Amino acid sequence: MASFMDILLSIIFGGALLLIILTATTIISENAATTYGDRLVQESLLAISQRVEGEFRNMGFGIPDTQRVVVLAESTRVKFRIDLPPFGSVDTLTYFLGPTSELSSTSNEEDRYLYRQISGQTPEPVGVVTRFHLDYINSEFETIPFPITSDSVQRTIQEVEITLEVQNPEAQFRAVDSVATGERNALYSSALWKQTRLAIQNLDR
Amino acid sequence: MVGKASLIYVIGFAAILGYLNYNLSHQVTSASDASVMYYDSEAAHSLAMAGAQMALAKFLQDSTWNGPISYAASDPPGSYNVLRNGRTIRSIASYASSNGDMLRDTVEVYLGQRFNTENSFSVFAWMTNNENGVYWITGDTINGKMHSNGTLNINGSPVFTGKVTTTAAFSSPPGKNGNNAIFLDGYATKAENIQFPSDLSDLIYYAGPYLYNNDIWVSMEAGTPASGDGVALVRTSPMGFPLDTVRINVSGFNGVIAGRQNVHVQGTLDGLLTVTSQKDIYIDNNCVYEMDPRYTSSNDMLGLVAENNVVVVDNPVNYNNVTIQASIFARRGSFLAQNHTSTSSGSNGGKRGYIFLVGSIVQNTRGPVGSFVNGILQTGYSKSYTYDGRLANNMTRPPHYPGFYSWTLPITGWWEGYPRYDFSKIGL
Repeated sequence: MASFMDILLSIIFGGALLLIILTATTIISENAATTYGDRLVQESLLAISQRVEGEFRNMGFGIPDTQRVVVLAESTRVKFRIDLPPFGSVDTLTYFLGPTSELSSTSNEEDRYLYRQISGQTPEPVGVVTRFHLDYINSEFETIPFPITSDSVQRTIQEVEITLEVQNPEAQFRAVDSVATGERNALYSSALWKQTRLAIQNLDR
Repeated sequence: MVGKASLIYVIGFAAILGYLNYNLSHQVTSASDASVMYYDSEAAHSLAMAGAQMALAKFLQDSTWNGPISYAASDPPGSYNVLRNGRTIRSIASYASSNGDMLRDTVEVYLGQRFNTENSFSVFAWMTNNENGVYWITGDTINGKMHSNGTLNINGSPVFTGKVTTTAAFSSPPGKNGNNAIFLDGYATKAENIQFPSDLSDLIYYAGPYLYNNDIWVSMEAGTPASGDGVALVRTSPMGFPLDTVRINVSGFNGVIAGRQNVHVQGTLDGLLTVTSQKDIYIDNNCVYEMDPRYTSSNDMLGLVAENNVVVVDNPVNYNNVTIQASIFARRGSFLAQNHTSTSSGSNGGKRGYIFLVGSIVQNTRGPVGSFVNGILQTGYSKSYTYDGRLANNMTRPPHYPGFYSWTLPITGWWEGYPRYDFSKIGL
């Protein structure tokens, strides 16, 4: 009888502990997936910002005074002249957003490629972003209103404000009853990077 | 039996939960790794930028600067080292990142060489090649820009309303050892040396037929009160018959009267005129404008350009103040008062009043116009010099007034290193 009771209690305790472990494992897995997703997003953002910031900082390098540096200044597209390594020739570098339809295979309906194009070469994707926005600032520290089309206005650009957002392409879906009106029906890991007032030394000459 | 099993259960579960806890904690802390990495690389970049900016500030003060500039600090744990190699300034920064790695970043600044357009010497209210050991003292005021290719000696609190530059330095640094000068528009030492022209042949060329081989006396006459009818009478003796009557404002006259010997000058000018001498210029009496630019709009402008000295003559008409409205240039000599230490010149033991000058003074060696004891005039002239503000515009000067060229080293390129993230450091 005593042995029977020992076995019974062991089964109860063991079962309870097993249940705890299984629950903990599930929670840990979910958290790990979220954390890993966050980190993936951060890595992606860091990699993109590294390139964007590095090249934007050097905008106009090696360009004679007689040439305009910023050729095209739009909110999601910029084209500028720069002498990229290997040095010695003037290149035209363009950053622009691709359409969301290119990444329709992902759960995230807002992600799209950010492209980088050197002179007339084929554009290459720099990364996947959900937001890429540019503002242009003049020497009076005023944001220049769009459209920035005239040559004289483009020459006044001294600084650029860059906003980049990257979201996880895969969703963590939500229960339908937890989605409020206007909200997306899924959660995405997201990281935002904003370089306010990136001073471009080569424009300040 | 059950006791042993329970012990194994407890140890086993403790190990499993401990492992899970470690992983959870690691996940939580590593979530910030990317932002820490970004911070570290930005810190390294900011150090490199700081080094470049410091070097440029140094270079602005001293164009011969070659470096190095080094900086190291424990907080933030980084350093930079900057060198100039020819026209490239290179700032290299090191930063100890939070994971123990040493991050490096580089900023390179490229300088070009640009030949400025010609500047007029008259942009300076006062300029000398050599201050001749004379001190600027309390009570002296210079309105307008000032430059010396030599040491500026200051004792007391003279006031400089324009920017003061010197190719050398001050006798004492501003604010120290009695140099309490008031610089209302700043100052710079080790500025670029400004070279005087090697000769005055340009002026001789432009004088054309108005170049005289002997001593001449030039008397300026304003004509009627109307503007534009002034003349300059050229004589070969003080009271002689005029050799030439030069109509200053007619086309065909280049605005220059030149003498190979000494040139004496006086009178009232109506128009633009430069009087030049291959020797000395003597100011025999007041030289003034028909329209005084201090009080009214004036298109009158006189240049007195001498190979040697521009001299205020020791004669009775100059014993009770003398008024000179002109830009004065003494290429190899000075602007000075003749016999300035004489106690018999003038009626008051050698005191001759003031030199009221409206214009600018550029001279090779600072010349004396009076003698002073503790700032009090003993003989000669006190000074009342006012810069003619019209001359601040480089394009406004007496006809063919000497100019100088200067080189500048503008920033033609600025290259900043890219951050290099090592994602393996954060397990990505």
